[in-house]
Amino acid sequence: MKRKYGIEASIASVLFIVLFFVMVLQILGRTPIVAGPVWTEELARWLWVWMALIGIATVEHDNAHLRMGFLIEFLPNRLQKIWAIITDLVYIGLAGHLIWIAYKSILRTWNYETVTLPTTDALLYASAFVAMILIFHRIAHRLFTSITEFSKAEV
Amino acid sequence: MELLFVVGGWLLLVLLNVPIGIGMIMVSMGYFYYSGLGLSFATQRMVDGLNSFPMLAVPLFILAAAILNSAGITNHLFGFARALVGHLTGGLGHVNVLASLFFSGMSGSAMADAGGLGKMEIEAMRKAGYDDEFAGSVTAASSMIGPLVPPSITMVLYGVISNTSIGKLFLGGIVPGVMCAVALMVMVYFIARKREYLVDVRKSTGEIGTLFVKSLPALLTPAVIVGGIFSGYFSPTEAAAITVLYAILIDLLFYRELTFRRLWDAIYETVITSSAIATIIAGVGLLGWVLAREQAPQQIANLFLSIADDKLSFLIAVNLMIFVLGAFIESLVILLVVVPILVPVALGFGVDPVHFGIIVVLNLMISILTPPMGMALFVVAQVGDIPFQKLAKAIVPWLIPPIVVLILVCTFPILATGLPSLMD
Repeated sequence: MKRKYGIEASIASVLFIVLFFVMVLQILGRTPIVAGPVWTEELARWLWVWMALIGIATVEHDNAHLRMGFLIEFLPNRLQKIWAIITDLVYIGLAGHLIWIAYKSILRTWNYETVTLPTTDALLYASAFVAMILIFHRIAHRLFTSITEFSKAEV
Repeated sequence: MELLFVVGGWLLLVLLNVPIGIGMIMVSMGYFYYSGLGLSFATQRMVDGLNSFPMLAVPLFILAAAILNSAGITNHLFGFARALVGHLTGGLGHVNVLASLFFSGMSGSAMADAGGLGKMEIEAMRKAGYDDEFAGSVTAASSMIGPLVPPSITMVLYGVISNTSIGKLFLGGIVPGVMCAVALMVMVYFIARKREYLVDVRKSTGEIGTLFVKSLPALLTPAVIVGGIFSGYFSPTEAAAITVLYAILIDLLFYRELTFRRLWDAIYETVITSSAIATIIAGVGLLGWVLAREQAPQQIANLFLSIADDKLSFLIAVNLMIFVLGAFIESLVILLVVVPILVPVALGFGVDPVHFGIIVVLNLMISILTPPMGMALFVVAQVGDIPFQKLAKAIVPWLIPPIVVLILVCTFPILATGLPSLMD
């Protein structure tokens, strides 16, 4: 069966492929085959950060976070649903605040020059801003679904 | 007091099914709201926690394992291991351990071993009349060899957090990894002899030779990785990219089972797994800040100084702590939260960082087998369709071989530091 990929998953996967080729270029750059550019290590790190953070939105979408919540099993089903909604409400609030903090980080680092790349550090910290927006969207979607389902079950 | 609330609060959230990394972010932000401290650097700390070149090895080694599983290279390794030791008393039990040892030379993850090879191993053992408990226990126990033999994701992370040479850690894990395999095979032998399991017919030298030639490209992977690192051609991080390239190349040249769709699925799985780990690393970036503000490292150091007088008593205390924590907390969390606090204390007691790293990784791998939170048990129970409770009970005697190896490695540091010291 073909798997359906979300947009974040596809973006993160493409970033990962680019990261792989940058690493290969870095290794080849030390051989006589290719003249090694100096920016490969920094670009590879940035691609990893962007991939990992955008990937977290995919993890939210697939509900694939690492968990070990065996205490929740002892709660009645209804309480489990209420607890899930409460934690998502806290989570979405924090994600909203983190979007604002990430935005301020971009402004703060706008004039910081990178070591080898022709851009500023703000582009690196923008990864958190973009990722938090995507994560916010995923939690909002999940919250909407779980609240709707919960209300229907109560009626 | 605040420290107790932060750690206790996080544990409670995690036990109530909040994702581990998200729980860290929640309690850390709660701490900063409560203490009135600015959170302006929160996202920067999370990004900086991830912005590390050695850490790139994590997704790349995960991808290498995913490709090896997708490309069916595991089938060839299993076939070769079966031809080699399938006829011995314990038959497929030995095959299971040996195949894991072979696979560990290409994959740095115990879960990749348990999930990839595991299904095939359990099915083969079931067909041959082995009971589920035995098949599941051997599969879970042998998966712990994966992160001991290079490459190893756990060692990469340990190297990053402790600033230890990842290349030396890779070499240091080889002897304990092989010792674990031997110890598990001894255990298989005794149990199988008692239960009189069936064994395979001995293969001819010609058949073994043919299977060896088929598996050789895959078996050469650790030599490529370790050889490349120590000859200076590439760093351990770059070795991860080379492993991916090598896995794709040997499939294209020899096995031809990897399709574009399977490759894309492997990349997707890697993104998901890496990002789930990244959530914890980002969470640790924030929680570590809180722990440092609350002077947790100093408090832990003082605690150890009060109970340990020398190197050996310190190692006993650390091992007991990791063993107990490991039964309840995910090994990755122990590695990223607890171990960074312990490393300076270990160095203070004169423990070699490579020796300490191997002890920690070995103990963490035992923790993936200990119920109720043994991750390898969850994976094996799932892929082998074995009830978790049954497996949790059956695994207990299988903890003995790796614990014996752990005691030996603690007592005789040369077992871990011997090979790395040859490279100095």
